[in-house]
Amino acid sequence: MFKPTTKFLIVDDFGTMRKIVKKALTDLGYNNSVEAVDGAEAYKLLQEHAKAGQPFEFVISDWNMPNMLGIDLLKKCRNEEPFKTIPFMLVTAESEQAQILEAAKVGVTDYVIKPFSPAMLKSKLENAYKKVNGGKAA
Amino acid sequence: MSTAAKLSQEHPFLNREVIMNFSNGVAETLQTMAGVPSSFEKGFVEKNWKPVNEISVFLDLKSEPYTGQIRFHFDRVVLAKLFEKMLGQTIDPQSKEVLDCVGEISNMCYGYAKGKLNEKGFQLQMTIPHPCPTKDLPAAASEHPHIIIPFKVFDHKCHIEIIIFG
Repeated sequence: MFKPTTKFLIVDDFGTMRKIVKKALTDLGYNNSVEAVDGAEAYKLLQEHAKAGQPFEFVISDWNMPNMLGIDLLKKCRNEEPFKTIPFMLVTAESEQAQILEAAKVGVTDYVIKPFSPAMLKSKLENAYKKVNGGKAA
Repeated sequence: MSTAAKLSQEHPFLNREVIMNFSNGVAETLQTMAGVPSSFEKGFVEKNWKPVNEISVFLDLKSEPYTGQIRFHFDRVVLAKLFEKMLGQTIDPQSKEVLDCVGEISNMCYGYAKGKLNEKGFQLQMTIPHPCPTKDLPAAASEHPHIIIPFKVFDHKCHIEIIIFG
């Protein structure tokens, strides 16, 4: 799995979901996370933290948000250094094939369909780890 | 006593699948996220139904060319208990956090139903939830049919309301 010090950016317009994701991460041993309320704020934070030499190492983002959708944040990241390869997970209520295909095409690392259990999030993080490490488990 | 509205049986929102998938969305969301069961009663159609719960959230229902609104109604204490079950933290039922909580719950319920219904040929679009105290809900014109689906959580009666505009 990812190092316990991995720095996560949690993006969701609802504080309740940000807290749920943060709690799930904390329960898995990850205590280094920052929250953003939409894609626009997340993008700003990504740039600021990268500029400060303390870049985020994983983005967990909702899809459907005001100001900037999660899929648009993903597109921006995939088109710009140094965010091109940052692991990016979409946590979404959108379970339709078309959306999943769109996210895959843009380069999402993995996605979690809401509602989800903490065990599901853990499994998705394990999959993401394998994916970014060429199929190797920790 | 319910006043049965005159409804076109052709309207796609007046469909068993719609009612069932929104009900399943609520049941699945509350069970998966909070480990809380819910029990559903038979739905009914009424023109002048007024919500009786304290907190509501509404989302636009659009499947071209049809439009409507879906609303979820809960009491504050139910939302505070759900929050506690989901996060292990207590909140004041009078706090604004219950509004955020109902917003996210409705987002998941709608997303679940949207996914299932669009697989069956509906074309429901993405929408943003608008949570508010029930007293602040925008007025729903009484000439529109309302489909009401009561359900119980923690022994409190809550409601799903589907309003058909056209």
